[in-house]
Amino acid sequence: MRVLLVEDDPQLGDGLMVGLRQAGFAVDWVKDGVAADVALATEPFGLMILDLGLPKLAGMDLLRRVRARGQDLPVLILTARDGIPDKIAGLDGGADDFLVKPVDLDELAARIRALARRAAGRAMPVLRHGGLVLDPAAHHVTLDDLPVELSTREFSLLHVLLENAGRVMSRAQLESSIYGWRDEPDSNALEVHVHHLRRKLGPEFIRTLRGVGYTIGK
Amino acid sequence: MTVPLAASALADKSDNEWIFGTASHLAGSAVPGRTEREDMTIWFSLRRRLLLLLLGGVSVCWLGTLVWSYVDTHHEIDELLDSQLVLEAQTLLALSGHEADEMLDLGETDHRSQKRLRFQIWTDTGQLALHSPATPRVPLASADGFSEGTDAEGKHPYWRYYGQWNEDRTLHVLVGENRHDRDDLIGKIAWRLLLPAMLGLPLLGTWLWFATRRGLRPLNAVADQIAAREPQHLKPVEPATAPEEIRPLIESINHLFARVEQTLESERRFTADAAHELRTPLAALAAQAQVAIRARDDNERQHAFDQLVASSRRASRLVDQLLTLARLDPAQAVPLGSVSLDGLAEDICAMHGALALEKDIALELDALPATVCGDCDMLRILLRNLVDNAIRYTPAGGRVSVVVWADALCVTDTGPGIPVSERERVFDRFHRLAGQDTEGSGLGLSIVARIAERHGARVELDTGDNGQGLRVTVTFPSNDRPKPGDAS
Repeated sequence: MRVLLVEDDPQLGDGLMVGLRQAGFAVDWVKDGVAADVALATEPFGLMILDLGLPKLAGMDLLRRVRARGQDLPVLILTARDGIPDKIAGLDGGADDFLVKPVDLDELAARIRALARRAAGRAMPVLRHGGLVLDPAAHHVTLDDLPVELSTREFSLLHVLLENAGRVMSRAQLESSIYGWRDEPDSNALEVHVHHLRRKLGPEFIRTLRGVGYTIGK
Repeated sequence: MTVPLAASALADKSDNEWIFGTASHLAGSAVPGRTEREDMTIWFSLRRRLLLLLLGGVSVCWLGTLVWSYVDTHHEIDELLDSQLVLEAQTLLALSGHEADEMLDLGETDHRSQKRLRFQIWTDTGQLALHSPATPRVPLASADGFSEGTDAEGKHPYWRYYGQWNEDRTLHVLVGENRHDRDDLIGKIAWRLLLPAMLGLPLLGTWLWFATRRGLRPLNAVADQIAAREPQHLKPVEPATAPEEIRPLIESINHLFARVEQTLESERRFTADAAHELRTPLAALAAQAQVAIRARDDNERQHAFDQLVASSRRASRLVDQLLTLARLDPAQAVPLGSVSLDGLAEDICAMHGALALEKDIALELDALPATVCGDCDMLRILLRNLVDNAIRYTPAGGRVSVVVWADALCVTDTGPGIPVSERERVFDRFHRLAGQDTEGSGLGLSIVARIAERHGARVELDTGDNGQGLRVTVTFPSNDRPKPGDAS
């Protein structure tokens, strides 16, 4: 899943970005409110981690703008402010979760997964499709109770396709949700990942609609 | 010592020390540093003092009246009895002129009147013509008119005499009156005057004792109100009724409360701000440490370690700055001394030379000899913050110049500067300018402002040369003027 991290502190931003990438998320990091606003207006993100004390455009103002535009992506506020009024204002202002710094990376990743799950309209922590079970928290996939070894990218791709099972995902949609800005995919990387997934899960698992995209049937 | 003293005074409110006991209790809890000074106070009882003043005044007036009445009565009685004596002498003379022979047979009079009155009538030949019983046969007095005499044994009661010749100077009359009766009368009158005073004074004293107690009761109520307060309760004291006399006291207490409240509020805010500001570097440390643990390759691990070091450096810098600010407690006086600004500037510039070189910034110093009055360590911190900020915010290839002259110093850089609209707020703690990538603590200029304030110096922000960058000028008060030592 692609996550937009909005944090002005250089070391914390870097740590969160790398840490969340290690946890399997595609993370893009911006350091001020205006850059975040531009990024959200132009790219599809699955979730935003938002600091409140931001240069140029304050976190709460950015959140208001995003919600006013009708963007319903989950927003997790991560801030040093721990006052109850801050929390109430944040959650009532359109945020889905509120975390106070410092935060454990594992907890942050778990909350991101929970928010993503809810956003996708699910309550179950694992995704199932026939004999396939994908556990986003454990980064673990089993097929007919046998573990399947997947790379991070393959896992992300399978995750996106399963979340959108029954829908056709365009190539651009898939790429933007598994790659951040820094890691530009080469032209046929997506095909390579799909190829690997088919080899591991069975050829009929992912269907190609030529010129349109890929899908996993309901 | 103050607290138990105050506590005992509070416990024993029937006594008068409570007013001051409460005040010292207050001062003791709000400003602990003042207790030693408080011990120097000489306590006195307002009630006792009032009582003494009132009773003393009343007694002196009463005594004055008494003495005056006594003297006056004495005089009046003397006059009255003396005129009686004269009348008696004249009556005797008149009588003796006609019936002298008959009068020789006076017979016995009662004993009492013998002791009170006596007389002699002498002829011009020196013969005693007539006398009262039990009267000596020698002239009672030698002079004419009034005179005093002792009795036969030469002791009191003595006599008051009056002597007079008849018109043809053939008979000389001497009349004596026992002074004892006269004194007795005067003494009785004086006693009657004194008695009500003697009975009245203790009564008045008792009444005053209770009256002052009752009169001072409103103070008790106010003291109770203050004593019942929690240390955090710093709203103004507003008794329903209070004597006009303690209005200045209540007003100054309320004023003090307001100031303490303000100080506490600013400290509370500072603590909260400081905790928040520390959270971010701590979060960064935690995140980078976790990243390092989970690093997928050596590059990632090395990167995380580098970031860890940077985070901890930032956290400790923030802590340093916070401690510096905390040490600049406005309640403490600035230790005075002569500080050579040019020497200090040289030191600081030398210290920052390496950093400037590293960032490719030209650091220039132009210092004329300048001495100001103040604390060397504090001024070093001030200058270090200014130079540090200038180098931090100036991009590579820029220039930072430090100029010292007379009683001012000035640090100019070619950095982004501070917009006019922000110049007021940059002195606020933790205020950072929008859109800066540099990792400041947001405390540097607050520290500068506070040190300057403590030295009575003025800090001005302006654009640098050619309308670019920032120029900070710190102007110290002139040496010949007395230095404002305590900023509080």
